Amino acid sequence: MMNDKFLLEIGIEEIPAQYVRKMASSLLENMQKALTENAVAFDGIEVFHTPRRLIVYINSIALQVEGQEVEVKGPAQKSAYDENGKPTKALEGFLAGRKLSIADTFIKDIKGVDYIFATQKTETKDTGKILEEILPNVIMSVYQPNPMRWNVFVGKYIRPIRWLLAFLGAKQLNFALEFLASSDYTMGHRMLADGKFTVTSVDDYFAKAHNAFVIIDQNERRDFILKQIHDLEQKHNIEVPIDESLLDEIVNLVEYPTAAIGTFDENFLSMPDPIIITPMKDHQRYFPVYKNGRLANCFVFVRNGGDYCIDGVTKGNQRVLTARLKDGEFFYAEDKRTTLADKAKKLQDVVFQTKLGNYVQKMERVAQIASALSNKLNLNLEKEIKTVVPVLKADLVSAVVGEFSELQGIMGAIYAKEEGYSDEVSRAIAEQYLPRYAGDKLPETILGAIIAIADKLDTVMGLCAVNLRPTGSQDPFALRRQTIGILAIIGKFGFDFSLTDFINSVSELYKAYYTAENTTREEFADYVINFVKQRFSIMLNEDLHYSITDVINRIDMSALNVIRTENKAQAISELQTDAAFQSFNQTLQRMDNLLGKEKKTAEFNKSLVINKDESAVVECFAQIKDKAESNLQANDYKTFVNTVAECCALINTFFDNNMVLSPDAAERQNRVALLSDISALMHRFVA
Amino acid sequence: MNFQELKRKLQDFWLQQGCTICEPYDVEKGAGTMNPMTFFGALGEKPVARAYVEPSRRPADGRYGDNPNRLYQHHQFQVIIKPSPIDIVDIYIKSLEYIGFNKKEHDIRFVEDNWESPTLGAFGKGWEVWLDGMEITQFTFFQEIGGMTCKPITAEITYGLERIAMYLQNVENVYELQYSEAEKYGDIYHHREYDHSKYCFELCDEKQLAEDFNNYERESKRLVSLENIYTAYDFALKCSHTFNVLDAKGAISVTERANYIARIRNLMKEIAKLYLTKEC
Repeated sequence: MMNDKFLLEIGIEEIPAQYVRKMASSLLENMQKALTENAVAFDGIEVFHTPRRLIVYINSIALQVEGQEVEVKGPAQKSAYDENGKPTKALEGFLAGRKLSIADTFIKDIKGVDYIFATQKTETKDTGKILEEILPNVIMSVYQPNPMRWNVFVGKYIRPIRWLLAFLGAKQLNFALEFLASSDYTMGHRMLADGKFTVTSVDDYFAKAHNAFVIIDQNERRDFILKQIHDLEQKHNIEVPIDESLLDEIVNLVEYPTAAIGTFDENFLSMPDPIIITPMKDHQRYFPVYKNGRLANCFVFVRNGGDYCIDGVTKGNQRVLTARLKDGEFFYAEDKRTTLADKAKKLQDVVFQTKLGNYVQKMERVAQIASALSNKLNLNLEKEIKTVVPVLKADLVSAVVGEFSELQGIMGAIYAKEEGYSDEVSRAIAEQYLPRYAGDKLPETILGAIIAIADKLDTVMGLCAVNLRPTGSQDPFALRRQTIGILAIIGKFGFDFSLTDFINSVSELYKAYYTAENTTREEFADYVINFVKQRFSIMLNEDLHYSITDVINRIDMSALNVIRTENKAQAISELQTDAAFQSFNQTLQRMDNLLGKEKKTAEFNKSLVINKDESAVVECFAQIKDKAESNLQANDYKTFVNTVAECCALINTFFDNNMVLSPDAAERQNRVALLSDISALMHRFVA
Repeated sequence: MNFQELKRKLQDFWLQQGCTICEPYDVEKGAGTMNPMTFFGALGEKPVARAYVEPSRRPADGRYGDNPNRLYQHHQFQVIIKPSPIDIVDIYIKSLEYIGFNKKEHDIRFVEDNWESPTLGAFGKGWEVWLDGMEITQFTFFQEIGGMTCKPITAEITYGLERIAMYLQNVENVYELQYSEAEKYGDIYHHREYDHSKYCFELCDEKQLAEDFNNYERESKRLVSLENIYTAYDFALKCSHTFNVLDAKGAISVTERANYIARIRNLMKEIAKLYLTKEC
C-alpha cells in the first residue's frame, strides 16, 4: 500500500475552553506546513478538539517520499584545486561528505564566479521516519496564548501534556518531548470510562474513543447538544434561545454532553431579568429558559457525562444557582433601600483614576462635554443631560453591580426606571458603555449617543492629560477601543462636526491635569487629536476597506469631521474610474501647478477681465458656485464633482490659449485670485 | 460523614499518597498557601509532599454569623507536591471518590482559573474544580512565588472543606453542619464569627492597626537583614492580616491599597530571595 491514514493525538489536562479552537487551527497549520516542507504528499487533513485533546487526522498520506535528483553546490573552482591542479581539502571534504567522486562534479557560473557542483540523488525516505522527526516541533510550536510549566518539563504549554499518541495506519510512531515519550494508548472519558486504552491502528483509535464515551468531533458534540436542547424544548414546551458564544464554550467544556433541565423558586422571577440571567449564563454556563416569551423559573445545563444519576447532578446545580439567586435577591433588596441620587453621593469616595480624582469629578467633566456637544449639534438636550449625568454612574456603588460588574449601566437603567425617571434617561444610562467591545451594538437614542461619546472622550482626554498614554502594545485603559467607539457612534448618528475643533474647545477642562504634567494646552490637544486621527485612519482602512494610499491620502483629515470624511472616502473610491472625476483631478492638478507659489493678494475683480476664454471661466464658475456649495453642505460629493466638472473644459481651454501668469502685473494678480478661489472650492473635497 | 471525618479521610488519602501530614500554622493568614509549608515548600529544588488543614481568615467575608455560606474564617485542606506528578489530576479525582463522591454519579469539571496573589508576589495556572456546578477545589500549578520563578513546579490542591461537607451532609446552612457526633459547626464557630466580624467592621482601632502594620513591616525588614528567614516571614504574615482587617473596615483608599499591597509583596520577595540563597 502506498498511502495510509495518519493520526496524532495530544492528550492535555483540561484546556481552557476559550483557547481550544485557536490552538487546534494552529496545530493544523503547523502540520500542513511541516509536511509540505518535507515533500510529503497528503490529502484530507482534519483537526478535532475536545477539552482534553488536540487531534490531527489525515485520510491519505503517502508512505514514502521518493528520492529526487538535486544539484548541490560545492566550493568555488579556484579554491577547489591547488596550483598543481590537485583537489584541495575543501573539495575533498565536499565530496567525501556526500559520498561523491570528482567524476560526479561539473562547473557552474554563479554571478561571474565558477563553482563546483554535483548532482546527488536524495534517498527515498519513509514518511514514518519523517513524522517522528517533525512531530515534536509541530506540537511544541502550537499557538500558546497563556502557557504554563509543570513538573520538571522545560517547555511551556497551555496545560500539562499528559500523553502522546501517533499512528501511521497500524504502525505506532515513536518520538518524545523531553521526558514524555509517545505511546500506544489513549484515555477515555474522565468520568465514564476508566483510564488507558491500548490502540492498534488509526481505525482502532476511533472505535476505542467512541466506546470510551469521547466524541472527538467538535461539530458532532455541538449538534448533539443542540438536538438535546431541542428535545427539551418540545418536551417541556419551553424556548431556549441559543447564545452562540455560550454554546461554543460548552462544546469545549465537555467530551460527552448531556443536556438537562433544572428549576428554581419562581419567587425569584420578581427580580429584574439581568440579576437572574447573569449568574446563570456568565457564572454557571446555563442557558436561560423562556415560556411564551417570558423568562421562566428553569434553566438548561449541559453535563460532561451521560444521564446516569442525572437527578442528583440537577439537584446540585439547582442548589448552586439558588444560592447565587439568594445573593442577588439580598443585593437587590439592599439597593432598593436607597435612591440613585443617594448612591451617586457615594461616588465621591470612588476613585476614577488617582490623578484624575473621583467619579463625581469625572461626571462634572462629562456633563460639560455632553452639553458642549449638544449645543454644537443644536440638539437642545441641555435639560436631559442635567438630569442623567448626576446619576449616570450611581450603580457603580450598588450592591448588585458590586457582585456582577458586567451589569454596570444595566442596573442603573433599571433603578432609574423604577424611580420614575423618563425612558430617555433610563436608556441613556444603559447605553453609556456601548460599544463595550469591537462589533458590539451602538447606542440607539440620541441622548445615549451624546452621553456615550462624552464619557468616552473624557476618559481618553483625561488619561492623556495625566500622561497615561498608550504605548506600543500597552493600552491598559483601552483608550484605542474607546476612541473607535466614539467614531463609530458619530458615524452611526451622522453627527456633522469637526472633532478637532471640539477637542480644542473642551481641552481647557483638563488644565489642572496637563499643567501638573508640564504640558501646554496645545501639546495636549494636538496629542489627543493625532491619537484620534490615527484610530480613524486605521478604522477607515480596516473596517471600510479604503486603501490609505488611494483614498485617504486624498482627504484632508485635519478637521476630523467623521461623517464628511467617510462620505468623501466613499465617494472617492466609487469615483475612481469616473470620467468627470478624472477631468476634475487633471484640471485641479494643472491649476495647482500653474499657481505654484503664487498667492492671492486681493479679491478677484470681474471688471478687469477682458480675455474671452477667461470670461467664459468666470461665467461658468459664477453659475455653478452656489450649487457646488450646496452639494458640499449636503455631503453629496459625487454631484459636487459633476457640478464642478462642467467648467473643467473651459478652464483647460483658458490654460491652453493663454499665459495665466500674465506679464501684466494687475492681470496676473486678478487671474491668481480667480484660480485660487476655484482651486479652494475643489480642495474642499480632495486634498 | 461529619466534618471531622471528612478531614480525617482526606488526611488518610494523602498519607497513602506519600504526603507528610502537617499542622496548621499559628499566625493569622488568608489562605493555606501562606503557611510556610507551602510558601517555602514551593521555592527551590527539594522535592516536597505535604498536606494539612488550614483555618483561613478573610475579614471582608465576615457576616456576623448571619450568612449561610460566607465566613470570616473557613477551613482549607491543602496539598502540595513538588514536582507536580504527571497523574496529579487523576489522583485528585481518586481523592473525591475516597471521600464519597462516585465520579460516575457526578459532573466534575475543571474550569480555567489562573490564581494570583499580589501580596505574595505569586501566580499560578490551573482550574477551579466544579462538582455538579459548585466550586469545591482550587487546583494550581505555581509558576512564581515571592517573585521567584518556580522550578520544578509545585502542584497545589486546596479543598474548601465547608462546601464539600455541606454537599455531603445535604445541609443548606454552614452552621448546621455536623462537626462531630456531639457538636454542630455553629456550636463551635457561630459566636466566634460574630465577634470577629464585629471587630473587623466596627470595633477595630484603625490607627492602632496602621501603626502595627508599620511596626511589623520594620521588624520583618530588620530580621531579613539579620538573615532570620522564618521570623521575618511571620512578621510579613502579620502585615498581611493587619492589612486585610484595615481593608475590611474600609479604612484604605484605592491608592493606599495598592501601596500596602506593594509593601507586603516587597517583604515577601526579599524573604523568598533570602530563602533561596540558603534553602533551609
